[in-house]
Amino acid sequence: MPVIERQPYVQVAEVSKIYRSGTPNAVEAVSSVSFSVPHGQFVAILGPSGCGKSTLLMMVGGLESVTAGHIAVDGSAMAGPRTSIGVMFQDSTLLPWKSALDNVLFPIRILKRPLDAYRDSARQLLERVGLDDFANKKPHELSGGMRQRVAICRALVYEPELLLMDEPFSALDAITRDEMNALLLDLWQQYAKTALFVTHSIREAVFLADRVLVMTRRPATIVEDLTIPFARPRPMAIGESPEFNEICGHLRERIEESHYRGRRAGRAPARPEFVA
Amino acid sequence: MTAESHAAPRIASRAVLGPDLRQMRPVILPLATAGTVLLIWQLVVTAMRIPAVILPPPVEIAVELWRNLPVLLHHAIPTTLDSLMGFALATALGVSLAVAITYSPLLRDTLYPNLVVFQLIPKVALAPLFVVWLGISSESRVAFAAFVSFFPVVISAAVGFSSTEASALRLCRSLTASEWQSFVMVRFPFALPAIFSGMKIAMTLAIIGVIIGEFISAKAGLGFYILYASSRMETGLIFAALFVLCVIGVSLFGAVALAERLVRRSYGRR
Repeated sequence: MPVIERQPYVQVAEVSKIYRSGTPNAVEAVSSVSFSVPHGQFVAILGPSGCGKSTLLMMVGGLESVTAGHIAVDGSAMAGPRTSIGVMFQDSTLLPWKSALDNVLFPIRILKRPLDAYRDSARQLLERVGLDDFANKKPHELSGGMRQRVAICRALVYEPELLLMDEPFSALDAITRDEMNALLLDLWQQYAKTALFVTHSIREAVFLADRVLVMTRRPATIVEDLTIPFARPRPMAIGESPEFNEICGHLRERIEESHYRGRRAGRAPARPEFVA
Repeated sequence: MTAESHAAPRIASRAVLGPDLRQMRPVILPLATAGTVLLIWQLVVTAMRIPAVILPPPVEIAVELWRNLPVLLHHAIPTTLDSLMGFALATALGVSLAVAITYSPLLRDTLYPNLVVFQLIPKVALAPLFVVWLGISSESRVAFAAFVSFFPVVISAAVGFSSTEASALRLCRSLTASEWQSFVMVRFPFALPAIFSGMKIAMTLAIIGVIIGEFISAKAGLGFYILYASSRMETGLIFAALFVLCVIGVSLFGAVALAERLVRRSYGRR
């Protein structure tokens, strides 16, 4: 058990996001969300698509402005993107004219760090994800899973303290996705420090995270904060265990419950089978 | 692949020749077509006894070309130089304006619709104006060539810059890249294919612009020479000059295409 720190690494306090605020078509994407993440924890934000979880993640990364509330990372308030935060997006966002290795080194170029000092670690990362033979290939010569692996290497190469992942594997097929999850956990042990992982897959969240936050639509807020008890390293087979499935079942229930409550608030007809 | 290897034993000679010929196909087919057209031209003109003043046969044009080659080359130089300068000017101004349009919403909203409307004007009709403004020197032709070829560069470069993947720009932002860095490392290379397709159009338009300028005012250049030859009813010479003009056009267009390959490859290597 890690030592409890006086100050959490990520602190989100009463954060709201309203698009087109003050106009008749204002949309409340995130509503008064609060949570904090201690240093070194892997937290999954789980919710249905369109519930504002990606918006929340982008606000933590300083890529979206906050309408109300306060976000602090490493003790200082977020005012914009930081080099101590790495972001992985839904698509791999590789530059098509650069080789896999050069794509991994792209952040180093932007940050104007010495390329030679990072070339070896970039190659090692590619080796770790099984792409050592593909270092000189262009993105169009790689499969979707390979591209996302290059994107993982790119997010880790400059050693950010906090890694934000926005449904990074949602575009991949189920088998590749399982592979990527195992790979991410493996890399996680070695490289990154603190992580926020947004997903709409319950199993993915439980398999990866130390802690799962359940977020729901209308109100776009966190309804559950669950600690996942499994020790690391976690084998793939853990997904077969009754305890794993019990946790998944519990999370699914929580999502459905809040959905139902949301529907009633939205004046949709109540469905009697859910009332019990 | 498998189909070929299956067929190989039956028609062995074709299997040996096949791949080579197929590779040459994009070269052989157009050349053969052009050769056939010239042959038909030659035969028709001789068979129907069409006077050389109306349509000289290709062989006679070739003879004229050979006999007047020094003069033709002498006139080809100003045409080529003026076209290149007009093209360079159009590219520099066009890409700069496209950058300005991309980064300033105010400029985009004020200029872009006007540019599109302006492009609809038959610009060739404005050639005499350039003589009024800049005289009959080479500057007026360069300016007119630049004016004519400027629009495709602006429009295609602006489209190229604005069609940069939003996710790539967001990645830059997450890495705290400066506006300049994301332009040089992401926006510009993303826009390169569009910029070059605009430049290819601009190259051909610049030559047209210079020829029109030479029709109006010049004392040298292929446009001037064509006009001179037509005043003396030397139709063979007109065709010879047109042939030189074709060679210039193809070379300059080829140079832009080659530049595109080199630039895009250099981006890939870095």
